[in-house]
Amino acid sequence: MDPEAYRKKLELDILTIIEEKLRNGQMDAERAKAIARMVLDKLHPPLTLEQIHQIAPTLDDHFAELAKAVMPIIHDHEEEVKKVVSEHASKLIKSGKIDEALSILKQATQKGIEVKT
Amino acid sequence: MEITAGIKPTLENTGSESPKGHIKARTEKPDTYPERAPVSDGVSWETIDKSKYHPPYFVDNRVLANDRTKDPKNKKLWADPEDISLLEDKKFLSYEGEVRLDEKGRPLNPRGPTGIEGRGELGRWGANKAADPIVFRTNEDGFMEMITIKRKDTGEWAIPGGMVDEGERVTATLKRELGEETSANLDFEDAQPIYQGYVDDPRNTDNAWMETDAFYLYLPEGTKTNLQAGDDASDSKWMVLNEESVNSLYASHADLVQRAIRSWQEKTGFVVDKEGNIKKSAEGEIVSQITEARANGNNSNPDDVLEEIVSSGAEILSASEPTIESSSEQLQSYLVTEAKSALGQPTFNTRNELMGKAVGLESSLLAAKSIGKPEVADKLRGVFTQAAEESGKTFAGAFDETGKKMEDKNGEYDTAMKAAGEVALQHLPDALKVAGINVDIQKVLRDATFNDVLRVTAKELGQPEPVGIDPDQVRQTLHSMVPNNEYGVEHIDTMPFDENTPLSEQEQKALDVAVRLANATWKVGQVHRAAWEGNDGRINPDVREVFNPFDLLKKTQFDRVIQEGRQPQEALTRVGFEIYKDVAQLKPLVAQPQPGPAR
Repeated sequence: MDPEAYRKKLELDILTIIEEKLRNGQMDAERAKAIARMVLDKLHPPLTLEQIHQIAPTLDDHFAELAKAVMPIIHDHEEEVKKVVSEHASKLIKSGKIDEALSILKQATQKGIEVKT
Repeated sequence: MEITAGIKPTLENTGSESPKGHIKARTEKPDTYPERAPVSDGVSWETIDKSKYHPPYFVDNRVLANDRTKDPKNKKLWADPEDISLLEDKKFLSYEGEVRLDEKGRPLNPRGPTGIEGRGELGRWGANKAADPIVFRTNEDGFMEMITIKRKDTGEWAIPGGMVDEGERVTATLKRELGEETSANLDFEDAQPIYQGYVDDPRNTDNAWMETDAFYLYLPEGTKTNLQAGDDASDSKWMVLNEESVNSLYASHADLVQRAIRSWQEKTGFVVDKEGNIKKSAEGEIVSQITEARANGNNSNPDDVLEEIVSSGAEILSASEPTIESSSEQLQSYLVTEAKSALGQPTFNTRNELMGKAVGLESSLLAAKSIGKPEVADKLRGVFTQAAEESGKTFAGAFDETGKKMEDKNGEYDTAMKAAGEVALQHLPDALKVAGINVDIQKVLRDATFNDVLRVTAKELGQPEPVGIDPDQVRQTLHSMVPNNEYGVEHIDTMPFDENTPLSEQEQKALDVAVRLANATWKVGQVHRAAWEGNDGRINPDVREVFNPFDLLKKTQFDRVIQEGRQPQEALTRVGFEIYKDVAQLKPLVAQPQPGPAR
């Protein structure tokens, strides 16, 4: 996936949330501006996919309404981790390296694991 | 000087946030008045040189003719007796608080001398209570308008207000006055209060002044209101509210109208631009930007839309940044507004950026004024703002994400307060450089004595330069005034004194700048705390003093000590001690003295 396209999609999702909340009267202009400023600061290009995955979970730290845009990113990331780990573990099991496969699966459950795709 | 009990303001928009303090009452007058005796800006009853202040006495013949004691049964008579001893009720109440009396028992204008004694055209001794109805509507062309009358006495356009009759409810006065002056028949029971307090009015004198209750009413679309001038008005009309028309209104009415507009904007989300156009709300503008971007499909860049959102917002009628000419009240109002606005920011750093900017501007303007170099204000602003922001960052650990000070982080807060002096000292050489003050600041701070601090303080407060200072007497005075648990109380017994070798004029200016910079660096932490402690969007009265500009803070403290019955010299000593605390913060940080002759 193109990291820049992924970054822009995330920004567009956030814009959709801002628009919806403003229309419903659930957000004022000052908060919309604060969100926009924060997004511009944090999602400043160029970013790699890894960087986007690291930054995304912090976007709703102060703006809970952004969770709707952030959760899919986190979910995508988890799926990616699962896929890579599973494939790697399968290969190890098939080659008889059971202990090594178990170790990798254990690590995958820990936070902060780096996945090279 | 006697003090009588006063009533306290009930709205937040009072006191130091009141419409432009005390300017028109010193510099303008109705044609019937004699020339006012000159009164400089900032002069109070305590600081005025009474041997040189000889204001003319004036009371208008209409006031004398309407003395209600001449015929107590005649309810149309509206003036107090000229002989103040005949007044039945001598409790002079004011929204400003306590009212002082002069040696003749006459109430004294709480904002200070005006250059005219007596009551002028005002009927009552002391506060003359008025009510001001501000009535808005949107006209067919989309412009915001308000009902105005042309005053017969000055020919100026004004709010159609009037005096509150004895025992009359304010909402009844609003309805009555509007009816009498414009023939409009409107009900004010649901009107919004926007101001209650002193009015800087050209009719004010040393012994009589205007105070008002101002309300606004926004008429629903299609409300028919025909206007016909009557009573004190030679004309009445719906006036389009633009920058020019608002600023040309009578007395302090421009301030009242701007307050009403701001209140209406906050309630409705609409904004009024400088030409009086009512625009879509800021929220609506942002939605339009996003919708437009979506319509452009792949051609739109979300970064551009986000940038537009950040920079969006119509320019509304609001207080602009203060300048070197701004009064202490205007500076304080600016600081309050900026601090409250900063609370809307998502992170401590972005909040701090705004608060540092506000504190930096306020402090640098006062510093430039104090050293007599208004032309360096802009350059000083850069240095002061940088120092305030930098110092403000050190307070980050003491506040949570909403801006609230965490009570279990007092240690972090105190550490940051102490570190503020270091930040100030780092930026001090730059401040002196842009101010064109060429002295050895390390030496100045090292050598500065309490005598020097008192000299600088006396100059700022308009007090005579203190001579013959007795250190023991000073310590004794301070111990009798400063609570034992007050921050910095330990300095009382360790302060250096030296009567014979004062700092030079340049060195005194350098000391002044140093103190102001030190004050700005720790003030930003206090502003963070006080801003959050605001109650329901207003500033908590208990912490309001934090927002006082440095000079106003000193003057307030000086006046307070005088009100306690102390002598000016003692009040000066008390204020000087507060200033010395800033010097004491810097002293341990300067380099040790080089071997050489003692000063």
